Amino acid sequence: MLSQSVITKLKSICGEKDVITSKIGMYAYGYDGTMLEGSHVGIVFPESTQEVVDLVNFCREQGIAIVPRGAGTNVSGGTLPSDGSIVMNFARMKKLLEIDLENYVAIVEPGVVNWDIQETLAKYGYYYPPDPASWKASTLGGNLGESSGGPKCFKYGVTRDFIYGLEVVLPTGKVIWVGGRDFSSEPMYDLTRILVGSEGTIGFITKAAIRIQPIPEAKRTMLAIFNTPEDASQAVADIVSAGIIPTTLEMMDNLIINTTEDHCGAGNPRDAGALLIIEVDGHPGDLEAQVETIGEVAKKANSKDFKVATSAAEVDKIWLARRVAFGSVARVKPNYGVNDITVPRSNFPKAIAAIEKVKKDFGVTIGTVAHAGDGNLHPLILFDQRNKDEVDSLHAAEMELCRIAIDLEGTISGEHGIGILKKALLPKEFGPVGMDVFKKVKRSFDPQNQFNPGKLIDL
Amino acid sequence: MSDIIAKIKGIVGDANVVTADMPQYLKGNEQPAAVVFPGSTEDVVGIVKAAYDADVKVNVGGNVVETKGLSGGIAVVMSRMNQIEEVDPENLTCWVQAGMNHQEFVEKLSEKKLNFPPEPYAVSTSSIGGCFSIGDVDSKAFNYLPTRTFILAYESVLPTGEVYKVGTKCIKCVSGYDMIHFIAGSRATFGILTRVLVKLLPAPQAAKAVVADVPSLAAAAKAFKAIQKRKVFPTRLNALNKALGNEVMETSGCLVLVDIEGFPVSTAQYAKEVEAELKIAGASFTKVIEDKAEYDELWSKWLKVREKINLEENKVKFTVGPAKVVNALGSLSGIVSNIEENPGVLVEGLNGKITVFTDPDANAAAINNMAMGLGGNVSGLLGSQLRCKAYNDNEMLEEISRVLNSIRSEFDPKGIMAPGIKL
Amino acid sequence: MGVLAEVYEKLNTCGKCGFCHGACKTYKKDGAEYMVARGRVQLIKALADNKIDADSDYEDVVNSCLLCGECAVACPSGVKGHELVLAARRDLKLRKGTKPFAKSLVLKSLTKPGRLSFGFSFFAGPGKKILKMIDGVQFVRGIDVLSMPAAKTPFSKQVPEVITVANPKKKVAFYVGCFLNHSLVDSAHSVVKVLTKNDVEVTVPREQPCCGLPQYVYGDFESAKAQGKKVINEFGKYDAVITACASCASMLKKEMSELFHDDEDYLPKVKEFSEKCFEFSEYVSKELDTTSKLKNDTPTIVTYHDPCHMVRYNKITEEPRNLLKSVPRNKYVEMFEANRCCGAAGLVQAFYHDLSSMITADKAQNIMDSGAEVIATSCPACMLKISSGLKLKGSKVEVKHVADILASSLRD
Ligand SMILES: Cc1cc2nc3c(=O)[nH]c(=O)nc-3n(C[C@H](O)[C@H](O)[C@H](O)COP(=O)(O)OP(=O)(O)OC[C@H]3O[C@@H](n4cnc5c(N)ncnc54)[C@H](O)[C@@H]3O)c2cc1C
Ligand SMILES: Cc1cc2nc3c(=O)[nH]c(=O)nc-3n(C[C@H](O)[C@H](O)[C@H](O)COP(=O)(O)OP(=O)(O)OC[C@H]3O[C@@H](n4cnc5c(N)ncnc54)[C@H](O)[C@@H]3O)c2cc1C
Repeated sequence: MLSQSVITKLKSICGEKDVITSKIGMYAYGYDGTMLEGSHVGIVFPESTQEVVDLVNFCREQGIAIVPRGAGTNVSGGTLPSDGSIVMNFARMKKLLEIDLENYVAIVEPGVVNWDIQETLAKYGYYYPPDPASWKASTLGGNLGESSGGPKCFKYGVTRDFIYGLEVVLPTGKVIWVGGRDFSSEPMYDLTRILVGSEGTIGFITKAAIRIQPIPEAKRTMLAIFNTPEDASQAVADIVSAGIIPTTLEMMDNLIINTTEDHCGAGNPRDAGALLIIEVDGHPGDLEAQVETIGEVAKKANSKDFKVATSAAEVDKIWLARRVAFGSVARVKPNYGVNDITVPRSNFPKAIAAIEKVKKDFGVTIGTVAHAGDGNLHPLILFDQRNKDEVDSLHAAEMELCRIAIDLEGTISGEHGIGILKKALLPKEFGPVGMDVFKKVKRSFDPQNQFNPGKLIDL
Repeated sequence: MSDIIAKIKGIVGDANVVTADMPQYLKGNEQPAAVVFPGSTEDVVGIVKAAYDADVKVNVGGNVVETKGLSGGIAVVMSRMNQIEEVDPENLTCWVQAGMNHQEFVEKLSEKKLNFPPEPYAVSTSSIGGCFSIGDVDSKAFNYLPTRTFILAYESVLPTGEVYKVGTKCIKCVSGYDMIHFIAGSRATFGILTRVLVKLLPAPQAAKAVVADVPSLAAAAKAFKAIQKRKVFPTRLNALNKALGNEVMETSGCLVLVDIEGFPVSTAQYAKEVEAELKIAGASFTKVIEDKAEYDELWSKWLKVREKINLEENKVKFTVGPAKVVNALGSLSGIVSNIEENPGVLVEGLNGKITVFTDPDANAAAINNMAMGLGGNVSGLLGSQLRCKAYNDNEMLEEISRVLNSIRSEFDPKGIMAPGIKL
Repeated sequence: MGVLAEVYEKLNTCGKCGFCHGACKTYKKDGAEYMVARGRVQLIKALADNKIDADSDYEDVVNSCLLCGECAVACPSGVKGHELVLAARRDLKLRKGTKPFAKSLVLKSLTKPGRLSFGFSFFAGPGKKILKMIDGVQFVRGIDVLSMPAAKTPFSKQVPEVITVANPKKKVAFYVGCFLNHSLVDSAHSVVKVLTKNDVEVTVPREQPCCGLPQYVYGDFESAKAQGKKVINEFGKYDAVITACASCASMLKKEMSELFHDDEDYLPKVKEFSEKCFEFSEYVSKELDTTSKLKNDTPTIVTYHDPCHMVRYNKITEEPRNLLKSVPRNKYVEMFEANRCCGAAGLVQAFYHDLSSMITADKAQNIMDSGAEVIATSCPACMLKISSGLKLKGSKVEVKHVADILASSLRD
């Protein structure tokens, strides 16, 4: 519980309505996309950099830890409040400060939702390529916190690749700008890069200069159906070998094909082992040849069917199943755990085989969707959160999946981050020297462990 | 001192430690105790441990080592660690040793139809380790993104002598702090890179170049803007003023060099559009180069010019938004007088980057103020200092410096690595 | 757990992914986690699990929901946030006895003299009559509607009970609805004009009981059922019942069956009745050929706002648009977020005035950005809310009912 005097001070910093200590507030900020819960003592909504500075300084004096939060859609426990902490919610700091189309840069506040940026840019024929599936909800601050990726990142890159510079409030309460408005403004250490993906543990981002670019002139969407996931991953490898980097290479396995059919009847064959959604973009004149090549590749990989969308409606139809993929599994079990293990493309078939083994060994139901181009898999483990046995098997299976990823020379997190959920596995991926390096980073910014303590690593 | 040299000789072999006749491996005025040529990661570990224990300074270079602050220290030259260890076309990655020569590397990859776009100034003498340690931005970065985006994993020896490995063959990895990309630009202060896993791209299916003799840099810059308005984004979109341009071919005005990589239909189309815009800009000569040999020759000449530009000490590099290049050139004339007649001006159109030969002490501050007015600034550490000064923001400058140094001392508690680097 | 037990399974299906964030206007404006379906659902579940109390903060969470239904569209797991909120309101009503909102409302109004005085002056006028029909919560309903027209005589008293035509091809009853009957009387006349010009005989029953939606959405199912029965008693005898209020239409066509789902004896009667009820544009498109009769000399740019009860509850979207497009010389433009809630949302506009106004401001801006000169819609509540939103922005865009536009294109 915060003392009245602390609450009064907080309110004097960011305003009456921007400080919440109600019971429901405590409850509603105690969870995130995971099943964990935390217990904090208050929520503050800064609306300017100065308010963030004042809050950071005040909390430091009071010895109160701060947990930054955007929309709270991360699935790694990254925004779970630590005991006695204050949640700093950036949701009300959400101005699009500047859009400079000709110079390919926009300046935004951290609370702005990815989708809102896209909608504004689209009016001018521009976009911001990082497109996490959660883009209609997730904030730029959260995207930066996790360095989120999306379907388009196989060709274009992830969040970190589209950040020119950041304004950051450090645990000292000092504000710094790192980077600038272009790619060549970093003096010495590329602080922008260490901040992106740091899950709010070393600095709070209060402004970001993001790279924006014109929407490609043309795009083609294809759907290929395969008997087995192995065939599909062969096709993926061959497309890349043919010198084509599609914007999107999304895969769905048999279980997901069936749950999406149950959900919305997208028209995909229920006996297919896997399907691939493939998208290429660029100059209209180049795409025909690429589509042809991809068609041949799919055929060579024994595709049962290969379709090229010829209208916006057909594009929508192809995407329909993928869009509802996550939720569609709710028909099988009320809850699902999302994993984001990532392996080198060449080990993709092995990862699929290993998931099959996890299903058997742990007696769990798993449906897999994957960003196949970059080897990023989302095995969805289905369970009912009220059934303790199922929850236990879920956790065990998730740990096993992470181990598999490491064994296959991959990583335990391709896009969701470490937070609390995967912290225990970090030493396995990085070893003692690697862990020590992480601690060096954390210590150099936040020796008091005041920013999002207990996330990513323990000091 | 002789202790540690003996120890290092024991590790790498006598033949790989040079104590006399060192200058060819050194730049700067100070005198290290030895130049050492490690052949393996274990060698590097041995060298760094020995130096760490004895509190002796170490610096590293591809072929040549900067000696600033290195008096009596160890200069590590990576040129023996020059092997490509693995090319993995399926994952589009390659493990390469840090001392690998950049040009050789690119050539070997292109035989396999693979592309490694980063392009340091001195391609012919640079090492891959140096490339990522500096991690700069070149003219191709608009399309291919900056150098750092091409490092996926590496092995290094920390200043404390431990071997550090991080990264995977996956382009997506958000596990832990992003030490993978953070290494770019760290200039040996985090230790010595021994092996790097780089990201590759498929070689472009088609490439064309457009060259033009345009009356002025301002005319070229206007054309660049018009080209971007057409949503044409070439791989390189550069202009050299007369003095530099003439190193490539004789011109009466400035030389425009445009590189268009991609697919057959679009490159042909874009080349046409680019040529048309350059003609509108008053070009007295234009040519679309399609022949492979001629194309390669053009760009190797360009790389030579870049090397020359880089060797020039008296220069200021700055960026403004790409759309502001026209304005910047106009204002620049007011600061350094006639830019067309200047001994060297380079415009990298897509990055909005301008390099001008001029005395930084005399003009960098004025140039920075002008650039800041156009949403940019002078590049590098100098730029950052000037920026903070212009904002009268010493507090920020101090805080940045405090953070940089606190990171550095976490990694290098005894402060033995790269003594010449000041943060 | 009480009535929440019935929806507990659904509460449990929320995977907390947060996809509803983008869909929820109250969240977009407020930014607090409990102002979005995910938060609301989690809190309702927490109450069911006895982890929190139904305190006034909780009441705000449940009562500030617009019930626009957008979250359900966005939810990949098929959670219908608005239905769960409805259950929670029902639960609150049962927990707290009667009229929890009137209480909080009075308290709130007392602290705001401006509102109070306006409320009174309004209340003194004919608005009283509308408000009386709404159980417990009345007198603030219109507070926001600064320039809300109030008819001295309700529409239903201005016209004969049966409005005959020369050669009646069809006969319908007109369920006017409170707002059209007492406030936007002109639009009610437009409805009659469109129908009669198409040779439809219109009966306007003297008794026009409230459809029960206001009571229903605040959990007072008993009063709502009483209203529903009154409506069916009055209107059950006609072959077709037309209403030009999206909310009433939704109640009559759809939600009444949900309300009576536990009354097996009466349910068939409700269903039979609902089958005969039509929203105005739906009826006109389906049953009449009015488009050939439309004449218009003044080129006008028109856009359309989808009331929540049209687009999400009843999925009627094309009919009104096609009617608007069929008017000669009208240029139809689509506005950004045409199908998002205007902020009126029943009593939300009264209790959560600031929040609601911000949502309306977005709507007004989108209308202005569309370049339209006229914004048409199908719901009088939306019309009033949008009018005040546009007025606040100093816009001259006119707000009309689809029926108004058709009526003025049908020459006498
Ligand atoms: C169904 C579903 C699909 C998803 N799909 C994807 C996907 O395709 N790709 C992907 O990468 N992720 C995906 N995610 C994960 C998640 O949406 C992303 O990580 C997203 O970027 C989080 O944004 P947020 O605003 O919700 O941030 P939060 O969850 O609130 O925060 C994320 C992290 O950022 C930190 N943070 C927030 N704001 C700041 C700030 N201003 N300064 C410093 N740190 C800050 C937080 O402390 C936390 O550690 C998905 C999640 C769900 C539930
Ligand atoms: C004086 C000078 C200035 C330059 N300035 C720039 C510039 O501003 N931008 C630019 O892009 N290019 C610059 N270059 C071009 C430079 O040659 C390239 O960046 C090149 O890729 C570096 O490779 P190298 O092997 O020549 O590196 P070196 O010149 O040997 O070293 C460059 C830097 O990288 C460090 N380094 C080298 N190898 C390793 C290793 N294995 N592990 C850790 N650190 C290592 C060095 O300590 C040094 O700080 C400059 C070159 C010179 C000679």
